[in-house]
Amino acid sequence: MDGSAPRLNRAGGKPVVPAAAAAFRLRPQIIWLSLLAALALLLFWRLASAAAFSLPSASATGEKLQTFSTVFLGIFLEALPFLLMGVLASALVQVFVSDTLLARLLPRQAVPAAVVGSLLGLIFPLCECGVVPLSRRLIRKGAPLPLAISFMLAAPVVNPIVLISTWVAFGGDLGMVFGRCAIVLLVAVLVGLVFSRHPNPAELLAFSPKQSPVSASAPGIREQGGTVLRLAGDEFFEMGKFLVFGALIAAAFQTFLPRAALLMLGQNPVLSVFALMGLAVILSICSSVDAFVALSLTASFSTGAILAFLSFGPLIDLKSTLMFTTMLRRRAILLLVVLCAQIVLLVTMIINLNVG
Amino acid sequence: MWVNRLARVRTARFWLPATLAALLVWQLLSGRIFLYIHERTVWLVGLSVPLLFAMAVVGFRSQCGHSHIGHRHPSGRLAVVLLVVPLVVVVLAPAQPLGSAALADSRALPAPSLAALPVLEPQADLWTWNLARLGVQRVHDPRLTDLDGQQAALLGFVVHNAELPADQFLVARFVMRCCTADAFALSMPVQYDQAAGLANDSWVNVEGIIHTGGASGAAAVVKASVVEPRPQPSQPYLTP
Repeated sequence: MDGSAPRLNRAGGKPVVPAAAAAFRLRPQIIWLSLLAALALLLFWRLASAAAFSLPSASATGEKLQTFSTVFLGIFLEALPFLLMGVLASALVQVFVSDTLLARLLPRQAVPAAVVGSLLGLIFPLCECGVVPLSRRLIRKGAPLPLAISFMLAAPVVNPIVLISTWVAFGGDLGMVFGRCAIVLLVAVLVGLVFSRHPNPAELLAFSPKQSPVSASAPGIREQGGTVLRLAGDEFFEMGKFLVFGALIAAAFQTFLPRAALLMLGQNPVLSVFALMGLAVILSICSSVDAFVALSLTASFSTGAILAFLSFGPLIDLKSTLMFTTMLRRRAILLLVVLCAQIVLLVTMIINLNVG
Repeated sequence: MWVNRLARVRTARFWLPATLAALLVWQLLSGRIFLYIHERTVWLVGLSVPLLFAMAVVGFRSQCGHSHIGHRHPSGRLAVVLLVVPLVVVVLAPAQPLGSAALADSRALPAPSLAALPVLEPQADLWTWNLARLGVQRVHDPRLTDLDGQQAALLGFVVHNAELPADQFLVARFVMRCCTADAFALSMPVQYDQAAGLANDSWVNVEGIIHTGGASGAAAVVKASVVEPRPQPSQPYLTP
């Protein structure tokens, strides 16, 4: 990570590694071992299935692993193009938009910044995988934190593609479109404003906001193209690991956690909201199609719960929350998740109690 | 050690995007991509290929040495390890669609009230009921009481369920809107004397008559006159 480079010792130039960081250094070895163990397991499973292994327990485990791998690859292959779009957009902004131009265009005061940030998705229609790299880039280019936070939260819903897909999914029901949009805008603006109250917003960040490695003054278009691809590659490596890790966790939840337990909570005005917020986090579906899944739940769940599913999923899901760690410190992420959950819960429960 | 060399971020910046791009090309050319994502978004995967190759070329050039004045690359052996995981899974895991195991435990959703479902399966005969139309009908008529005596033609995979009598099995198919993460199953019990001889997850075409329990309240079942083994379709999911 950018912010965690080891300091150099004056005498020999060797890195001085704090004790905590030294312990942290074990991680790659542990991860290599875990990967080898997973590899051995997969190899065993492959051989076992090839030899028509007949033990029922081994067969059941193999079938679970099959479901797990199919769901994992589904999430990864679906999200990969969107992540690539995000890192490419981020690199293009870095190379072709100067800091001074951005400073002139974007508001500095908290309220206008949060409002403008929450509407930027109409210009940059990115889903939750692609929006994090661009939000980071905006901060690095000098955009105020509330603007970047509001953009990161709102863009996966307040963008033309998602609004149209919601409208199509619900057969032209504008109530659902406006309801979803309004809840996400409210959350994005309020959370942006809360973050703006911090006396030193840089302390909330997981990277140094002053790092702007490449200016918009690269000499020729060829060099600029190379720089765009190099920056995009850097960011792809940085964000891609969280996509893979998030997809692994989401696939594990989907394979080993029975959905039926969540879905039994049905029409209860409070529990149904909790259930569908939990389901949205676990499923980690792209915001451009989650309305179609929500539609299949309308027969069994209240309006408020459906809106909670449609609003909370794009704000907070397993893979996007892991990606937030490249932008915000853990405590800031915790605050963000709690605030989003509280506001969505409150609004959707009010809807449930008044609309049903 | 060669593993360490491969895991070095500078080296990985060439071979990892290139291998991921090659993996996507293989998935696209072999049609395996349809096992994981909706055909609507396949073109986006296609667009990712040149971008990943371009990243690999730039990564290769940077291996040959370029100035690091004014910038530095993020460290991250962890990133390399995790980004290898999809490659390992693709190589080692059998490429199969969601099947009976996924239907049995966690992927049951309430019957969808989707107006688009009837157009999921191409069908010449509107008087014959397929899985998609039955799924829609269940929304209004969960016991399918109005369909007693009507023709059904179902294409799907076999699921043996312990709760069904020995001469019955489920014929099922997943509906996918985006990717396998959002897939949900449609299924229908079928009564067939030789049900026990059908393997789980084998694909069949079933033709028969729908029988509902009437006043007894028993679940609707298709009494099969024809059960033909079929190869798994190139698009195993219903994709509205």
